[in-house]
Amino acid sequence: MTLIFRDASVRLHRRSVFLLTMLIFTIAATLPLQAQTAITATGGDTKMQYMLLIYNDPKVEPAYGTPEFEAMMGGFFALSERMKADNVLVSGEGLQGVETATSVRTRGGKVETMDGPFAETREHLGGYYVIEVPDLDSALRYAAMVPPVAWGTVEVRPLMTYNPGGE
Amino acid sequence: MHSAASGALAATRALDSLVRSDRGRLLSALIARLGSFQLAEEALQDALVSAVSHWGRNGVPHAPQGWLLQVAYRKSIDRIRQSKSEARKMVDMRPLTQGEAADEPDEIPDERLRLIFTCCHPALEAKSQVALTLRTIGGLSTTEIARVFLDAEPTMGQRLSRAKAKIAAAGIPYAVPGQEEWAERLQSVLAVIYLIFTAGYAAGPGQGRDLAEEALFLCRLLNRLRPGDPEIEGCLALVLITHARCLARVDADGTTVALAEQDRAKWNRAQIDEGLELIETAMRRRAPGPYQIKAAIAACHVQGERSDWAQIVLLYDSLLRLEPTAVIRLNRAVALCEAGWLEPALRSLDALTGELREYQPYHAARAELLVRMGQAEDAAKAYAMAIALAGSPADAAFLRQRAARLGEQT
Repeated sequence: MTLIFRDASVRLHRRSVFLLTMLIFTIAATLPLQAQTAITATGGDTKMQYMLLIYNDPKVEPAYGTPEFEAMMGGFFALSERMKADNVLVSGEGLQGVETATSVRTRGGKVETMDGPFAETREHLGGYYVIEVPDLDSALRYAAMVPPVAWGTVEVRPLMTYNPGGE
Repeated sequence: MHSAASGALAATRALDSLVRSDRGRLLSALIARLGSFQLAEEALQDALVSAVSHWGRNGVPHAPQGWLLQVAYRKSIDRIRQSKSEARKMVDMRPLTQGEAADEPDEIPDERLRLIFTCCHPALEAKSQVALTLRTIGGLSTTEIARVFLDAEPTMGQRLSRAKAKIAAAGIPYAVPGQEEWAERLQSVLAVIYLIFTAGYAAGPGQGRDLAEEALFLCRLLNRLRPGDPEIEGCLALVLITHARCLARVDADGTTVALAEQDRAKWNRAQIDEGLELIETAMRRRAPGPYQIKAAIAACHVQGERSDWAQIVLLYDSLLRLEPTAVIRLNRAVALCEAGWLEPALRSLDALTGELREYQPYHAARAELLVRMGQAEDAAKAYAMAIALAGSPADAAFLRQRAARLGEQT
């Protein structure tokens, strides 16, 4: 990580990458435990899975090295801890910046590959969490704790379930 | 002398009044049991249909609500059995197995508070919140709600279906919010009630269901279901005090009458007194909120012989701290003007020019102020702007009358 931030011009590009690496880092450690407990959880009350899609504009994100940046990282860490303690986290990843995105579609049997994201917008999808909670209200509570909610937007979407009767 | 026709007629009449008073309560109890909005509505509809024939033949049962609830449960089980979708069986059967209802209970559980909070959930579009509340709690038909919004009936039907589908698919809980979220979620419920009230207020008591009365019913219900909440009391007080003046606010020609010129004998004194008592009770609870402040402002208009504008300015100051919006700033400027502080009023209005350029009351307020400042020419221009933007013929007529008065003075 020190390598990434040695050069100032690179730092600008990689800032969001760093943010989201941290996100993965904090989640990864919790995953095996979650996978185990999630199975027992489905036996009781109905639970739903929601994806929290984190959209934000990299230009307004706090800059690396500032107190705001520290606060954001602290926020991500606290949220991961909280989700871990509450036993709701299914998965979560950070995405690299849209400059790394490639879009694909097939038209008339031909594969079309394009540089860039699906939609050119100011706010980009930067990462996500999947959580398992009883209802939308609980999902919204966690969404409100995702640090970029203060300058970006977190979209909350229920995951589609094909076997609502449970396992 | 009991003919089938007269029996059916009596049954229909009994059912009509029951649907009016208890539809929300029945539906709320059914949703709690079935866990599905859609299924509960369908089952209740089935039960109403079978009530017409049963009650027509055998007379109205001694506990008609309990009868309907019981039949609706059975109908819902029929529907689930008939349903071809395996998934639906899985989802819908589960809550049903949790307990059997007693035969025709005299007291049906009141789950309307849960229903209100679900219908007014901020995850639903504001318009859908209003429509859903009117449909489920108020018991208005889709046709009546479509008329409120000037929508086509199928469009409104689709909106209601979409809202119910989202409640199910997004997992919006059928629950009263806890302490942590109560204040915020309550504001969203009160906003829906107040929107219904203003829609009725704007339309006036005309044809169809009176929405102002509907809002009053909803607010009273809310206050009964959750007694002692100062914001609910504040909202009820606001609705009561405003509604009490409904007969005086339009003259014989249908022109809006300014508050200061209203015939106070036409005010509903009982409603005003009830509202004043409520707002006093609410404020003694020492937990101020926007509806209490708005009710206090309404109270300042009706307590003395004249509105207490100086106090109203101060109340708008505290309201601005909670709701820093341009419209509240405009209202404060009007209060400044009425209190005789013309220069500060003009400065406040000037600061709002950009934001409220398309807002009729802004130009009307500016015109009134300019008249008082002796600037007739500018006032006439402002009146012309306001008339061009007026939303109803009553308002346009009122503004034309004001502008004409200006012509007489010069």
